[in-house]
Amino acid sequence: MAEKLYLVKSWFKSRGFEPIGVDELGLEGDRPDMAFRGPQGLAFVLSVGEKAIGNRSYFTELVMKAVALREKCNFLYLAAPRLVATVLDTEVLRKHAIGLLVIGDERVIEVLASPYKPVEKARLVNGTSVDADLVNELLSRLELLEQRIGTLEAEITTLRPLTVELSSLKGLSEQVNKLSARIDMISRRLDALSARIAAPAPPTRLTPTPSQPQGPARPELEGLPSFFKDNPWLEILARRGQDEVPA
Amino acid sequence: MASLSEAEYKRKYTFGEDYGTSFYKFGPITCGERPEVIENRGYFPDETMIMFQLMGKPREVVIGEEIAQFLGAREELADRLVYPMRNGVIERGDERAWRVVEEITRYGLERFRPKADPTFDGFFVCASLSAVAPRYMYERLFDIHKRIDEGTGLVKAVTIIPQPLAVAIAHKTPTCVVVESGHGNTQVCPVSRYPIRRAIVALNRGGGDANAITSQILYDAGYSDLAKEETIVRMVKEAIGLVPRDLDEAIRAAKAEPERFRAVVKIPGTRITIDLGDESWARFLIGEYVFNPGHEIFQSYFARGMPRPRDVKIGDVLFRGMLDFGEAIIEAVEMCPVELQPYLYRKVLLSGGNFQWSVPPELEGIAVDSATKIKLLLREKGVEDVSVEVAREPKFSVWRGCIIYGYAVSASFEWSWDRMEGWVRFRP
Repeated sequence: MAEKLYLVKSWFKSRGFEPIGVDELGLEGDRPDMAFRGPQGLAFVLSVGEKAIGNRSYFTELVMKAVALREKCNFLYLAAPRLVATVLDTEVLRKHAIGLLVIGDERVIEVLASPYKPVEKARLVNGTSVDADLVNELLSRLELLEQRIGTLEAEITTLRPLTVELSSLKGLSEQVNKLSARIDMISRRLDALSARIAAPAPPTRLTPTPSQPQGPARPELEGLPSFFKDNPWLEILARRGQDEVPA
Repeated sequence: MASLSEAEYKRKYTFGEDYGTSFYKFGPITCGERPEVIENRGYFPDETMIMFQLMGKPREVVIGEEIAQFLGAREELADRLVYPMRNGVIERGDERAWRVVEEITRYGLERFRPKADPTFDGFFVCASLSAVAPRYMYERLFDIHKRIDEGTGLVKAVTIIPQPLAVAIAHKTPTCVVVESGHGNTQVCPVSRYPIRRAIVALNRGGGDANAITSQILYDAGYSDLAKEETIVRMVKEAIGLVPRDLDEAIRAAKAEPERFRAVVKIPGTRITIDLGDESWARFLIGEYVFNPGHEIFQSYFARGMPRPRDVKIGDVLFRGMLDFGEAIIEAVEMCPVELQPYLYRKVLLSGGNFQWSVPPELEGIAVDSATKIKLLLREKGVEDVSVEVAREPKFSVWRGCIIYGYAVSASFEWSWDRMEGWVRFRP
């Protein structure tokens, strides 16, 4: 297993991550087997040994370790050889936002992606003693907070009459939303119309619309895939829900 | 979406889903020209296996590349490997098929979950189903997306369009007849800005039937062992199958000059070589059978036990067995207003893997491509002035149509069961 871990390194490098020393992480308690840092965040890897076949407690402990580490990184993966991967319960991994990499002979396959999770800030570790001074300080802060809440409650009472005016503003906001939706629709129709300006006008006919010859892309459609260019459907679809009735 | 206009938001988060018979094509607008593709299938592992009893339960349904790790003996594949859209329609009570659809849908959406974008509030998903999909399939697919959104926040709104409409959109053609032919069936759907649903003609015939006659030809040529191997049969069909301009003339020519028409296939990576020898004329039967199974020559095959494509009713739709493609197009067009009919014939779009027939340069004139064959079938029945075109990159047409539809149709247009279009929104 250990000799294949270079494949895991290559896999992460190909995605813009660089390996970092596990000691640099300053972690207490459980530590990952490998760690990587990249533009998207911090990733940990725990390797799964072949002991996982036939030893359920080993796998359970590994998952518990992974769960404990999950809050300390943005991505966390288990890396398992192909043989071991066939017996892993990926549903458990999915539930705890843990990814799974399968190490083959020549490459690594991401069987289950690890979703991004923000790293949690340091918390009080179970079992840490809390001294009396700290408790007193917290209590005094609590008292101050209670006083401030009392003041805020008084201010809210004075503000209550303003709620009527606010509710009329809410109606105004809904109207603005409707206008915004309409502007969006007009904007799309403009996109479509400007795309069609480049094409010659279709012959006058009763019902159907002919296919359009290819024309140069309009700036409004820049960045969109090529099948948007000169597509008469953009204009047709932008009118959906307004006046047309299907056959 | 608070800081972006609808158009700006949709430029990033319009998502297309094409539930094809063999492949699920999916991805957001940012994929560009081509979506991601996985096989539209799921595997249900045998939970009673000793390995799973010892090591813990596997997932109920496995999809994507992971399936390869579970595949066991061929005998059990038929029971455990489920292709939910094999016939374009899922039966109402086929819960295993729906489980697969839910799993691949979830997989597809999760695959493109944006990382750390505070403006993301779920995709505008435009899914596409067969034109003959009944209403309960729409209801189930909406439910599936709702459930996925409740657990993941990945779907802001969803809509469903018929595949032929998506093909017409991708090919920039508002008025046309789309003939979509997949593995199990064929749909003929006139489109004039909207799919004309009352004029859809469905056929119980597709690429699978071409495989059936290829298998019979291999059997007759002495390759009875290979005739049972689905993969080999498909390879032979693709390598030697030809569409004749006129079947009787093609057979006469091939029998007169057997060397010129000789069909030899080497199966890559094996020692197998298939040589039809004097029976090479039969390669024309493969293409003819797809377009016109009513030719009298096929009677002898039916008499020897090859199943005849039958009329079947799935849901509320009658799938016709023996109608030739020309008759099917005419029947569909003639259900439309008379004034519209000439415009529909001016653009017949052929889409799907069942129309990908090549013509060897040395056999030009005797063998033809799909578009020419359709024109000939229509001309036989008195329909002239027809333009027929095979869709470019047919594998991705439907997904592209979905992307354009999802981008262009306003989010304020609510789903209507009368019109069968609009958005089902899960959030404001």
